[in-house]
Amino acid sequence: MTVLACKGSKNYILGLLLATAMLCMGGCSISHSISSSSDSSASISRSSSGPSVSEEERKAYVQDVATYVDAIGNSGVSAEDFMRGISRIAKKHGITDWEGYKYTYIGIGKGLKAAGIAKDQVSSLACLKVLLSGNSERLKYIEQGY
Amino acid sequence: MSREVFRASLLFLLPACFAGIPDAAGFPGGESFFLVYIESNTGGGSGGHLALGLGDAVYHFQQHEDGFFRLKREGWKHFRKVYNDLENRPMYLAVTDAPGDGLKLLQARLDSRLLAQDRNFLNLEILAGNLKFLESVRSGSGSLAVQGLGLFDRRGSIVSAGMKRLKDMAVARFGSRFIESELQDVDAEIAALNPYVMDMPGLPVNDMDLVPLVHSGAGRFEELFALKQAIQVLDGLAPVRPDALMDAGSMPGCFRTRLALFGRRLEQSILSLLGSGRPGRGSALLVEMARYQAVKKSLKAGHLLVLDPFPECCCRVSQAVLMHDRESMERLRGDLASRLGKAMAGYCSNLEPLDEMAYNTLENLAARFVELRRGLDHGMPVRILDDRGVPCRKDSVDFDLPAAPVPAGIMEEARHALLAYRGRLRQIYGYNLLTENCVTELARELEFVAGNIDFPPGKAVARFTPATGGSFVPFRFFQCWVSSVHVRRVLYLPSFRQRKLLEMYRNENPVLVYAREFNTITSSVYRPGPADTSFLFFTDDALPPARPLLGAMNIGWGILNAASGILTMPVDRAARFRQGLWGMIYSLPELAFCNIRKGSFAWTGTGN
Repeated sequence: MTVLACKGSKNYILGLLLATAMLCMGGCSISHSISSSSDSSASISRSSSGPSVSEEERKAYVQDVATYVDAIGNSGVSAEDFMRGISRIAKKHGITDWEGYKYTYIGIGKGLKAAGIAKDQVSSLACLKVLLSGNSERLKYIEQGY
Repeated sequence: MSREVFRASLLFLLPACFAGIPDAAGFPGGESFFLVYIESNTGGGSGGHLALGLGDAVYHFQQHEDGFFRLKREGWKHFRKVYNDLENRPMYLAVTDAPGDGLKLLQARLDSRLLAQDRNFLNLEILAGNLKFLESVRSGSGSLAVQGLGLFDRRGSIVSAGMKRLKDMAVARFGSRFIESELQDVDAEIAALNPYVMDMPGLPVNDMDLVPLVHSGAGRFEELFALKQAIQVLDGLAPVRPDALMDAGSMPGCFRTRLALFGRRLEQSILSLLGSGRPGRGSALLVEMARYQAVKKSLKAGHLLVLDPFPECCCRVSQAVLMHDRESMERLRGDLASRLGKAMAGYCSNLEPLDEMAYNTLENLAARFVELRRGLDHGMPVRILDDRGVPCRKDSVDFDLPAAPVPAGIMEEARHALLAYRGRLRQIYGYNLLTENCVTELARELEFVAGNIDFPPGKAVARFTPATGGSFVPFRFFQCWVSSVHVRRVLYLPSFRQRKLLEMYRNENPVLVYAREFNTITSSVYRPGPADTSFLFFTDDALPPARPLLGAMNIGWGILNAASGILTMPVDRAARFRQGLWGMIYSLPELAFCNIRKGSFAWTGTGN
């Protein structure tokens, strides 16, 4: 393994010892829900700064769906498991009816493209058959995501 | 010492002299990513922290309540609010160019890791649910908690007009025998199901391995059972429980029009779900139907009524803590009210579509506002939620026990599978101070990408190991990065208190400002809070030579507080004693010219 080493390491021995002592006390970062400050008014402020909807949020959803579709690619996942996977991602973004949400299909299209699946093969993919049957609009969004 | 290392070391003196602070408005983007070093503070970050920024998102590793060390992705705005403002920790951003597909590769790698991580913890949940189901059947109780069912009042005699409309629409679309035949189909599938089977994929090989979903008969049984409950709720026209609704106050007239439109979308969405073949749609249906009622009630009352999105096991901030910071919390209530008003007005303009994601955001914002208002007005503990919440209140329902008894050995098999999976995840997502921490994990991702392209430019990057001089420490790694890699620029983002002081230094007599603000008693910016340890003097902005003296006095202050805390122990459950004790401990590095503690804030306003 190649290692990018910093020169002058000896000069940091004192700093390193101190830093180690700091780490021993608390490490890098602990989830706020378990840190000592979880019962503090700052945690209410933290909670209140929570989610907001912006184009970035939707982009993040599209990206997550695309990453998932790209990852399973040609793995032959069943339609049911495919939908369970999407449900899980959608819920994390606050969406329950992902089937009726156009960004889901844009994400699917993006993921299929990344996985190297040709556009004309989309409608024949087993995992998408249930979702696409009798719904040309969804196919249109998938193509939009390509 | 090389010139580069010397230069990198100088960066860390900037806060002390308040020099060369760049404007953070010109935030990095484009073909760059940024390595973020967050200075230490007491609590969960005494060793400092390291994160990686890509576009609007920040990726970092954190230890979670279940003991696992996991990757997390957050929006930059929220991340900065938490670490730079509320936790009052200065940040350094090393803006680094990524040639070619470097950025895409890095993002794809991190998102794939998140995906695999989520799958692993979902599988763990499925395995735990499977065992719970088997135990329930074996004990003869046969009871299941259905997500979303707790939002409805199924035992009262009142029927919901909104549900009546939904039922009529369903009958019109799918036929008069629709509900009956759906229930029959579900019952038939449940009867044909073997709830004891389990298809367990192999254990994950590493943190990038996207293993298949665990299949269990119990899991399928739960999906079908939830669907059956949802159809029965529709059939029984069950109203939403009054205590599942939160009233956020009046809404602007123009927003009512948009909300009415969203209500119509929900009708279509519910009908689609009823006709869908998607697994797990039962709980989704329950949430949508409850939301539909909330929207209908909002339109009727002229008030925004939302479903309670807090899960049953969420953290709570005690009433005593809330009252201690009442002034800050009143300001936060004002902020939330203002944000809620702006959000509703924003949807009036048609610029932002009110889709499900937007409605869920509004739901979360309104619920946090109502929760805080309730806490302040009625002296109740306040529930908190760090992430986005979807209403999911559960209710337990008895089910008919399967005809076949639990086969011998199946419980042991299920328990073994759960333990094996959990054990594997402990290996993959374990925390180790030296070898698996926020630095080493990020370095590993950078190393992977570097192995595929010449990235960062001009250097072959590989893992920074402890053997190379302790670069598992955040500030050391950051220094190494800045001195070894071609960094476009380094931005320094002062902490919240430092920014406030800068304003004061500009507008007032600097000597008077320093004399007033260098201690916690006369400071006009900082107010000691229960989350902080006891201390008297700020040492983060003191010149290093003065730190030992101030640190010695902070230790004395800690001793005084701890001693007086012994007397107040029966009243405050040793809170003062603990604050004094930790105050002493966190003052010790100050004797060696180092600073950890910076104080924190309960409220810092709406912007950065």
